[in-house]
Amino acid sequence: MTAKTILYVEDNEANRKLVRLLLTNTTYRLIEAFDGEEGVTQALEARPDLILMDVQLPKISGLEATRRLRAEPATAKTPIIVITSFALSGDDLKAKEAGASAYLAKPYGPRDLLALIRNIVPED
Amino acid sequence: MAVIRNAPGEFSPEVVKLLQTFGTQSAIAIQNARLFREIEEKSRQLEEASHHKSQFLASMSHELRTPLNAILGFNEMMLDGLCGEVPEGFNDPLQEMQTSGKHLLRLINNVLDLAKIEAGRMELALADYAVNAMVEGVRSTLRPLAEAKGLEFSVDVPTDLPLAHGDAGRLTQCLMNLAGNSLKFTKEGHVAISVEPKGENLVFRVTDTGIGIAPEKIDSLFTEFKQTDATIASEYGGTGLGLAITRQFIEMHGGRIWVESAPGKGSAFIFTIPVQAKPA
Repeated sequence: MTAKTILYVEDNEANRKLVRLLLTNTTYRLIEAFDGEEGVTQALEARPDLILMDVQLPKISGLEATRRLRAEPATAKTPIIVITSFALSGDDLKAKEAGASAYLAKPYGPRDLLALIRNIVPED
Repeated sequence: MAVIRNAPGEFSPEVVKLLQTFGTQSAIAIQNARLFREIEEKSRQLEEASHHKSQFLASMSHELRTPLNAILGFNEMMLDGLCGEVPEGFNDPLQEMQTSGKHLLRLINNVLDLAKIEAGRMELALADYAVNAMVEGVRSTLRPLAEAKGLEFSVDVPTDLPLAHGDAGRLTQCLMNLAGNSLKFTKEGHVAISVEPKGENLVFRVTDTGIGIAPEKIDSLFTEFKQTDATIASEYGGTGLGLAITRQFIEMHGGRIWVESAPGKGSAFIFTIPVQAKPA
């Protein structure tokens, strides 16, 4: 079995480090992108098994990136967890409309995040 | 205004009077039009300001939460031993960091809620909800807290209540604030939540046998950061914003909230909301 690949799109270094550390003792392979455009490019190239997408990103937003990935046959069905931190209501709805498979609000607990990941793409 | 006619001669007094009236009316009409334009401009500016405020809130929320996510996250992982075994004596300080971080998060959430309300950007998500299930949810969340303090925590809701209409999430937040306060300020005895239908309204009561509130402090209770005593925040915790937010949500539902209390005897926070809340 090959290791499952997770793409984390997040511009904040500390949070990328956090997920890196969280996945150290798992079999998941982590790849990272720093902005929405790169997130789309990486997703299309690497074809990850799961994408963690922050909403507020440089260049294009996580919601826009999600929409673009949904329009591509290669990533139309890839599970995408959208992570938001917006103050205004209806965030979960906006994430759903963009095509997110799940939605997580910041700050998320690493324990909860790992449980959600395992639930969507079980470790080998 | 100039009036010209082809035939020479004076205007009759009646015509002059008529023209004068006409002139005054025209001036008023012009003034009104100007005022109208000014109001339009002002309301556009207000709309723009409100939009900016919303944008600011969204950015603020993101900017505050992103670093807090890393702080709380790394802290949780350290406590879970993901960064190696926790050295002797490190557990308590790490736990304190988690508690304070969560407190900061509650403050951020409350401040943003209040700011949203003030910017007129808070909207209720109205839907049908079961009162029983909502109150039961609050009870099961707070039960561990009551048990830890050895307090009796009871709930009394008629089983035959029809479905109500309102924002169950926000009402849960209100009940959590009130019952959470009661549990916090009660050392012994009991805390109770009851619901009673009264005509078109539901009457919610959260009562306790806690420290109570002095009569002169009751008026400012629902104002931001007005816990009755500055030392209260340090001894009992809390953000000082819970009651202000609670009142806002109750009023947005078309209801009202008040308190009956005697120092040393306990308090009763009572709010009524329409069974069927209407959109604002």
